[in-house]
Amino acid sequence: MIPVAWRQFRSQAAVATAALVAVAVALAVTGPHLVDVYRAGLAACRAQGTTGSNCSNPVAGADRGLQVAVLAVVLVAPALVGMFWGAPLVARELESGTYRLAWTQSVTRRRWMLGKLGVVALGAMAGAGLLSLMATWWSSPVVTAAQNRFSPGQFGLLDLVPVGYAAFAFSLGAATGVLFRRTLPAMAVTLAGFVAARLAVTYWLRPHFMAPVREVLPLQDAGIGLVVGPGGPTVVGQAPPLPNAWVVSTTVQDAAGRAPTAADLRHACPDLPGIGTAGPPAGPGVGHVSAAVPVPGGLKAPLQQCVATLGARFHDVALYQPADRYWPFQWFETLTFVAAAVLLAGAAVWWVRHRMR
Amino acid sequence: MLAVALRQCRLRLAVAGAGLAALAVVVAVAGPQVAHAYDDTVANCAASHDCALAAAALRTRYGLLSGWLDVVVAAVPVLLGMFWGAPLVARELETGTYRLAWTQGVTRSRWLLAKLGVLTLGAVAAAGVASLLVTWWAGPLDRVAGTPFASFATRGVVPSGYAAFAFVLGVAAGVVLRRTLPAMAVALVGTVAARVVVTVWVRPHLFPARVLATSAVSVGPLSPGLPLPAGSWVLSQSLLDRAGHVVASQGGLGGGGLTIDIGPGVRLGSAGSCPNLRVTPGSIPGPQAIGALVQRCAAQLHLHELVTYQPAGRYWPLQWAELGLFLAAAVVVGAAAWWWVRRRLV
Repeated sequence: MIPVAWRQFRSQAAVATAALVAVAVALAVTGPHLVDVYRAGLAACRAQGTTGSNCSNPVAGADRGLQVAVLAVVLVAPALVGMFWGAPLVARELESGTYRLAWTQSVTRRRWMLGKLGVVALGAMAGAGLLSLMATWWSSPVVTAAQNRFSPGQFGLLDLVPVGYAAFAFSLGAATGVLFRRTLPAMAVTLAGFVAARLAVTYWLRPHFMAPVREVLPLQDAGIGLVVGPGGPTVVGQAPPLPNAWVVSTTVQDAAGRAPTAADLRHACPDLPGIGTAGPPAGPGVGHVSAAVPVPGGLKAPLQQCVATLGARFHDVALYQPADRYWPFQWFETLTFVAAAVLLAGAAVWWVRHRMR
Repeated sequence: MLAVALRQCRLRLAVAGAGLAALAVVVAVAGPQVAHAYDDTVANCAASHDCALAAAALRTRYGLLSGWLDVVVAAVPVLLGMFWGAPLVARELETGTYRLAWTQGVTRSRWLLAKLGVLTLGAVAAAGVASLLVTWWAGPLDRVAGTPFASFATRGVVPSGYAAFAFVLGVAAGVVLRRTLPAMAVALVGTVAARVVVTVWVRPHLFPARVLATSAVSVGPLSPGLPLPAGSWVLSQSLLDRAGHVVASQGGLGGGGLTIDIGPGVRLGSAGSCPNLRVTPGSIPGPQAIGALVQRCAAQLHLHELVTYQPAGRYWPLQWAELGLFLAAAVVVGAAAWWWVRRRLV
């Protein structure tokens, strides 16, 4: 069965190989420039005496169009695999009637399905893996400079996870093709289903793979934001300086877990316009106190006073996924998608064996 | 013939209608929220002297949804080309139903024209409605961003042009290749390629760019902004020395920045150095001080800047021009498909 499946898959594999070669050439030509920009940016930053994460490297702005294009290719590749390889896999045989010949040979339907699914799924995963490998190599200067590896635009497009996405999209396409028996609706449903699954995992499931770490920081280190709304002033926690970590939430609270009330703020920050009694009347507006955000010169002293007074009672509580959980999260998400792919493929095989004709 | 064409594409029109209705619900729910948040923060920011932070707060809150709505508007034309255009003729050829259709009283050309006409109008309308909804929703966010050209391709009338082109390209690919799946792939790749080519190489030159020569140099931290009308689209920026040689450029394709060295004296890349400008030894100058040093050094070296740009007032002329470009391309591709069906097919 495997030679037959391979022969049916040849032209699709040729198209994918050509596309991969084109991407490889484009990345090999443009990659070294990014490395140069990164090194020059780092050198310039160090020359000014800045260290570590305070260096904003110009590599993020270099070759902006190319960066977007590379990530877009990795983003859509699994969806294309599902639509153009998965959905027609069985649906086209059903539509064109060639399944009649296939099913009356000596090969059982189960082996026929397993052979087709196995060959193309391996091809899809290998292709996605190669593409991801190239994109990961190419964008490594950008990733190193950004120090934000958990951001959806990097976590979901680099390293291991695209392999899981490709396996899932392919199985989803094959299963919907079996169920609908027609290629075009199966392609549309595969696209919609894959996008929905990616969104659901990214925004609802991924944050809960592991319980976040809780860290209590003094306000002076973390910095706070003050928001003056119609209901009086409130305080917002600032993200602590944790490179490559995924900060889930930051809140300002005291030992009992209570957030500072408007009265607390008025007491601690009497000299801030909009909050205390001084300055213009309380109008809507936003102000931030933090080492990173420059504040107008006249406000600096009252703000520092405000943070010091508040800091005696309140702390910044940050919930975050530490940077060293990047690979556990990559494996977890990849295996989740591969498991879903295996389930869908199993359902497709069962449907073909028991529910068809 | 029109009735047959309509009946054949009922399901597709229904799916597109359902998708647009879903988009309308999202926009209708989130629209008043954005307008309210805008009134809450940005509209009164002058009172609290902090418009930059108010704008940043609004962007952080709705940036994600805005990004996804942009993706939807950008994807609609491509999906129409793949799922409406490519199968239109290719499926009839694959399944053999064209034999019945072509042996009725209707000529081939009227058969194709009716199919093309009904669905091109549908595609233009669908993309236009999607763009209209998102343009309205993102109004406050776009006002805050102040860079109308950044979201040029997902606002206004151009998505309708993309949809007409993508749809007709899908039909033509189906006619020539006679198979649905390869035609869908061609519609996808062709539309994306056309969009990229027009965005990068054609749009900046649809109207001759204006040129601004200024002695205000925008290098270094806290440099003064360019003296351009708000919302202009900067195409390229070059720093020239006294003799008119380019010492640094950005924008366009390629180009390199300028390395600034602040050590004993100030050096501006290959433009030259100002050894007389001294930093107090043992202290690290702040961005304000570095910015002032760079400006003084640039003045000493007689550097000036050459900027090419499209003024903000050309936003709508450019929208209509790009719409016309894609509609014209759609007509050309459609005529080719029509000729192929009449002369070359079967």
